[in-house]
Amino acid sequence: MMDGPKMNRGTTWFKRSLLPALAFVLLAPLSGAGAQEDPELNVLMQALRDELARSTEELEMEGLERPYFIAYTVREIERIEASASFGALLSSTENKSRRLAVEVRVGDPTFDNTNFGSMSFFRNSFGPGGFLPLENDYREIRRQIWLSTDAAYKSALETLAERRAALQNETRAEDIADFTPEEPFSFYGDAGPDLPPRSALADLVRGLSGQFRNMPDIFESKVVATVRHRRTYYLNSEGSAFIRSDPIASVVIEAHTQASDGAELDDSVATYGSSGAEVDDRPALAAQVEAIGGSLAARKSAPPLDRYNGPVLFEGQAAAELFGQVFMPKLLGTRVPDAEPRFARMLQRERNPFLDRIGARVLPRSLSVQDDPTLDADGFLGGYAVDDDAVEAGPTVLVENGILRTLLTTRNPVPGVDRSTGNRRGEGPLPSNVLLTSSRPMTRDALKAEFIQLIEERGAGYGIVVRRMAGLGSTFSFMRSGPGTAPTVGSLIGVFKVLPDGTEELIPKAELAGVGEAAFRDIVEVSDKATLYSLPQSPGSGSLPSFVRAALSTASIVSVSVPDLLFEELSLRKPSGNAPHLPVARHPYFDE
Amino acid sequence: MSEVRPRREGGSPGVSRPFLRRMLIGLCGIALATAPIAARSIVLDAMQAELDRSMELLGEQEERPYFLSYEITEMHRVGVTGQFGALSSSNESRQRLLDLDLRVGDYSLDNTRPIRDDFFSSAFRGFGPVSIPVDDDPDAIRSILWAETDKTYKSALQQLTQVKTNVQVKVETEDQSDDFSREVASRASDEPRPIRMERTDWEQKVRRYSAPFAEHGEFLQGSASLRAGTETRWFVNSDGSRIQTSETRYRLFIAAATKADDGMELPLHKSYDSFTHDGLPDDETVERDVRRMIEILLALREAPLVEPYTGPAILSGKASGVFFHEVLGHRLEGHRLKEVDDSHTFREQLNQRVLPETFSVHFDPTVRTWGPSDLVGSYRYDNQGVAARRVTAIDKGILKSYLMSRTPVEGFPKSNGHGRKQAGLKPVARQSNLIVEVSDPLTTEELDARFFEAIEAAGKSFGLRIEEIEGGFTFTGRAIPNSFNVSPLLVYRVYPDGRQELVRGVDLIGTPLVTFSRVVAADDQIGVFNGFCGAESGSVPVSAAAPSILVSQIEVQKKPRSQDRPPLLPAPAGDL
Repeated sequence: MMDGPKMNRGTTWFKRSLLPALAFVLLAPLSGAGAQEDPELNVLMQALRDELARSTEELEMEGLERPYFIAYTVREIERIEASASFGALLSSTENKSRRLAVEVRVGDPTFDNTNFGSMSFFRNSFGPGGFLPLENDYREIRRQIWLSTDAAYKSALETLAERRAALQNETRAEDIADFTPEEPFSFYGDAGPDLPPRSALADLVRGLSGQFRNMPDIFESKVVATVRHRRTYYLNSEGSAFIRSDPIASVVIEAHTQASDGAELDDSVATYGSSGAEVDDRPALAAQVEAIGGSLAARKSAPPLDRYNGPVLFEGQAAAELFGQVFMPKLLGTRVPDAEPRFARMLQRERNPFLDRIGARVLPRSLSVQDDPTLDADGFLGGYAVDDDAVEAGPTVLVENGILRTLLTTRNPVPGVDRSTGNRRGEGPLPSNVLLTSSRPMTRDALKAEFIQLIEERGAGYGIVVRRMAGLGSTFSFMRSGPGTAPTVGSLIGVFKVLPDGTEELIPKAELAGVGEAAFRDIVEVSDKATLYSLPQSPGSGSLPSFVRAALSTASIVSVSVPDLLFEELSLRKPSGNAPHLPVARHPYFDE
Repeated sequence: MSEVRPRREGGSPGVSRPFLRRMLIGLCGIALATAPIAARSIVLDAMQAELDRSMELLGEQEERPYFLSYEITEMHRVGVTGQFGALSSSNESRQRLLDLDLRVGDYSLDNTRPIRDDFFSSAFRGFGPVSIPVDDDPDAIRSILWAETDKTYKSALQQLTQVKTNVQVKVETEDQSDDFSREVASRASDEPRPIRMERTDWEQKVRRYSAPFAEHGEFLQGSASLRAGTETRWFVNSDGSRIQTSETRYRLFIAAATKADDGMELPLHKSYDSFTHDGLPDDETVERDVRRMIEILLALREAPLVEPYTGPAILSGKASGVFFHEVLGHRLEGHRLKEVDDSHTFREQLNQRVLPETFSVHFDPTVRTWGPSDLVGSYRYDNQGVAARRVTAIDKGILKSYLMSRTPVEGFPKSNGHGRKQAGLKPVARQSNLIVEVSDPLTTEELDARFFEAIEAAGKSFGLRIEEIEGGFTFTGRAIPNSFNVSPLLVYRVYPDGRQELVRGVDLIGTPLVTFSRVVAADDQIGVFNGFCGAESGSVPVSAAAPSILVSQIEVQKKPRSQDRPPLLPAPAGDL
């Protein structure tokens, strides 16, 4: 995935005091120059560099502080997407954009214009920056950088003044710095693979969605294929620079039907990869469509579960999805900013409980969690060489033998973590490749036996095994209920009662009641085989349905490797709300 | 102080109005007679089949729909934008959206009646537009029509129950008209029109048109964009209508902006609209206009600020078109007269004088051009399948009619083909091409003479001449003052000796009835404004063709002003 990147640890492109040396440094050949684009000849990088030099030297509002740090990030995104329903193309689109984000810091690293929320927050909520031309027009690129830097500097000055004013009469609860010191780092990655032709995506989705013509049990269905190439150009005033590509391709299959009692049943499967070719495995995708159709048809007539308290075994995809939705977000070191008093209480409510749990046990002693962006094994899609703060990527042990050691951070430190772990992906920290491992795993057979034993000990008559868990809302459920109603945890859609003799009975759908990160402390056992699973994530938009998050240009892929998880006790209930009546008319295609 | 002579826009001097009318009618006749018969439409057939099946099967239910319509709108769009000489976007898209109107109850009372004192029930009916396949695949199209019809039917039943209770619980409405009008079925079939443009040619053109702005470091915006779009609509309803129409529009838009030293942002736009690619201006014309915009913007930076003022003003044809659109047009949109929180400005004015006797105002979607300008507010059928027709709203100063969709109001039981909307929203009465006709227009010189007299009569040292305008808005509700705002881009202070001076920083404001009573005279210079109008049924293309008018007293207020200083550093100079 990351063949032959050029990495220059500590190469300084220029520093303010070293401007005369600029020409020399720029002309110095970089090691291992090969097929990659030569960054020194890149017009975009040159425009960024020239305007950065001018801003660093000259930008000053009379009588006020000058910037102590400036960084430019340009996201160049090319995206093609095709969607189809029932064998016909719904849409086929292509977008290309180049967006500049400017980070200007005034003050000093211990106290600057960041980490502050106020009622005037919305003034800057979209961040300074703007769209750059699609082509390498040096003059126009510089003009845009100039205007954005000016706006960012003025806004930084105002925010710093506001923050100082707000804290004038208060003692800060946590005196932590605003910006971590990091070594300059540069990296020049390969350009990604070429985008496939749009017609290839259109053919793929037409073909897959056409399979639903053989499934009279399905009411609505949709297949969406997306290939997004994102190339990031970065430069900061400390001498760090990088050019990095992170392509994502996805195929999402969704279907909807109603049970015989009217209950709404949805299912969706997403496949991710780093190129169109990687996800375009037609036999595998065709099998997924068949599986969705088969499972929805089976669920239609299955008897519903009322409520259940007792042992639950999460297998395969469901274990990975549960970990990804419930536990993983807590591993992010997201800071609660200082704020105007009227704003502060609102922000505190979202404070991550793990910020206060470093050193505490958060998992059973046998379990450990590691994040590793450098992992380059098959199927791990979350890797990168350098993060969005230009910090070199490296592995981080998050939970060691059950004890929380640290959180994933950016250069914005959190209490207890004063250096970046190199996990800035977009606006905030995100995991890369996350591995949940056990020091004493069991074979899947042994785990099943342990599960049956738990059921018998409880005398519950049956236990629950979950094999499929939905993401946070599909298109169909979102269209039904409207925005703002995304559940905090996905529904369980592949759920079975397991009787002590091992026989299984399908349940159409269930919901987890009140499950949180604390439930993971009570995991009884895990399997030796882990499931590798990828999901789109976007910092700060955790409550959005997954299909919305995946569509955001800021979304990144996180891969998790999670074994089957046996919980001693969880609570399940049937979905809340009344079921609508069945359609009056039959589907026209199947209405003979 | 700098002086810039205003330039007259639009108009068709030298062509007499009656001749123009005959010519237009002639053109329409030819267009209709030679319109090719479109091949049998797969989309229309699929819609018809599912409509028939739905009416039959839902007709077996206890509460059956009395009306059902499907409209599918295909939007094929190509857009390119250049900014300061560089290409900033270039894209193409094609999508189809479904709109479905299913009614239970009957014509006099149905599920669509607004529920009084329940904002959320009416504001959030239905969620989001529904996509329809762009492939002409009848099975796939019908499967979506089926699913959406079923959902809409179920929510219609719920709505009807709520409506019936609401009608009983609340006081009687002032307007006792029906909820839906009876109309004859329409049938029409246009051949889908292709977009005729080379994207790469236009990428080059927008670079070229926007490049001169880059020579001025004080400009914050300088862009040229071309938007070409074909909107093809398929419509069927249970009255028996079956319509396929297709229209292509091209719009070249030049936008530039600078900032005065006091922080005020100074925008200037110019747009060119046409139904055909050939109707767009040539390079020379656009480049001349760009140079002219640059001159004006540089002059605007130095122009003095105007203080709030009341007194006489001349509104150029384009400005008076927007003025009539905001002040009059929105208040003649029929459905507003039965909205309980609307101010009903013109409800009691029917058959009363509202303008000087010499003024007539028509809304005519059947007229496609005015002088050299295409009118983008024209169409053949509205979004409820009703044939477009000319409506004379004001005849010789007397208010005669409103703009009607299929929502009747007292005294107006039928639609007059003005039920319009953006795809994905519910249609309401909207404007089309607003045409102001004056029976005894003055010449420009005569109007100026009257203007100078008015300035002196008012005891003012100057009057205002409002030329280019950005657009405007108005409030028609009762909760906030019933006022309008027209935002000029170009305003001149005119002294009684004929001298005039470019000024900046004001918006034209007022209330409708007072302002209307101050309209004094008009000249023979017709200006055409093409634009998009936004209201509850979304954004629709509209036009206004109007002469310059003299208003004996207008009011201007200060424009909102950005508090940001101009950039600290000068614009970066030099090439790579």
